[in-house]
Amino acid sequence: MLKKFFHQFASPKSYFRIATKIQNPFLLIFVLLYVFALAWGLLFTPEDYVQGNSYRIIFMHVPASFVSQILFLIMAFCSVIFLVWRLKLSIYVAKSIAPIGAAVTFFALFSGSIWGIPTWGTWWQWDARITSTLILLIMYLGLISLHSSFNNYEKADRFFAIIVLAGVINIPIIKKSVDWWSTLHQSASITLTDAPSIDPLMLAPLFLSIFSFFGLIMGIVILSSRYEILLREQSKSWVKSL
Amino acid sequence: MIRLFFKELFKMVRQLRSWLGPLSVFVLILVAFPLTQDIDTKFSHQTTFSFLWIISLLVIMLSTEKVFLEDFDDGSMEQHLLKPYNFSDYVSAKVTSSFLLIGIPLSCMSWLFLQSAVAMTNLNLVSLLSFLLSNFIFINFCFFGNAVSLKRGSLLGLLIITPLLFPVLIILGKMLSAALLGLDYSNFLLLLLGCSLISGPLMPFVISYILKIHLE
Repeated sequence: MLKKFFHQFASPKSYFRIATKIQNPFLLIFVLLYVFALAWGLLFTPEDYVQGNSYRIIFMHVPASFVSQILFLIMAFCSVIFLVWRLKLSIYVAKSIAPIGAAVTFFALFSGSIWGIPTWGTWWQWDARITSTLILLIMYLGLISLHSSFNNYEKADRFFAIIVLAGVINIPIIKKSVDWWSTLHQSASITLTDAPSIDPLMLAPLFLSIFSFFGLIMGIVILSSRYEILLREQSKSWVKSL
Repeated sequence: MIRLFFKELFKMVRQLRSWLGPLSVFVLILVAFPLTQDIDTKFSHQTTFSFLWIISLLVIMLSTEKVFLEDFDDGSMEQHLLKPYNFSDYVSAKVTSSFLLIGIPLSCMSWLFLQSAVAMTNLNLVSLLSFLLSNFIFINFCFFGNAVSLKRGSLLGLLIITPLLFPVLIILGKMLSAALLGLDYSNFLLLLLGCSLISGPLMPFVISYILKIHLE
């Protein structure tokens, strides 16, 4: 039954039908949740004893950074599925993630720069974490350029998948950069092995903002992937009948 | 495989502009760089090493710009695909020839420049190894970038491979910092060696797969 579900789900037509139904409620729920999380974090959490109110950008910066890396991992997962099982839906989704990932990564760098002024006294530093995140942004932009430079979608998809898999090595580098090098960027406050070093009053809205931002971005991915399916499958009768 | 390697090597030797040109550019830059410095200026180790690594990278990018395009255009790449040996052997032969004719001379010239430019009390080994390993990695990645952007200009290839090269440059910088402070730099060297050992055998397969897609 599970196998049947995946076979049906992997069809662009079935995915499009399901995505159309869930897209708007999905987006609405997570937009409201993110707004709630932001309001909670920005207005109802206590001040930090060192950074004062400037730390509140954490509720935008951390979700953006986290999601930018997760999106690349999702792209890598979809690329593996495409290269191994040749499921075209997976590459449609991967390709639609690239511009969204670039935008989220840019926002992570931008919000980090804004936070850097009161905390570090500088907009930018060639720090390991920041540099590797910049590398991630360049990779996203490179992938978008690569795919758009080919007229043949089939070739473009295969190159795209290969380059995504080559670039995924950057994600553990970003994650571990604060541990491997002595960096200006602080080390991870939330780890799997130790208790978090953030106060629970700040931690709860932070988790909620990460979760809701991720859901919001996935809603945008669903929206974007629907358009990608319509573009690629435009010659099919089910698209023409829409 | 050996015959194929010698064939590619002699082919590259005959095409002087493909290796002598970039090496000449490198020498010109090495000669011109001190002219921009004041006579009393002492070159700092970090700056000189960084300059040499970046220039080596740029020269390798220049030398590998059309490494596959000529064979693709005249149809000899398809001939290699039909031959009884692995297509990745053809790519390996090209990479090895480039490293012999460009990578090793660049490394030697960089090391010689350092002898004259900065005090090299305990940096002889680390400098030579860093140049050899980094140039080998740069050549592999530049071949990869050129395979991806075969007919679409080198800029796309550069955009693809530059993010992959940044970690190598970071490791090089950290290795030098450790060496200058008298700390143990062997872990960084081993990391570079690991990157070379992974990229050396693996890249030809990836590049050959990409070239096969182009040939379809």
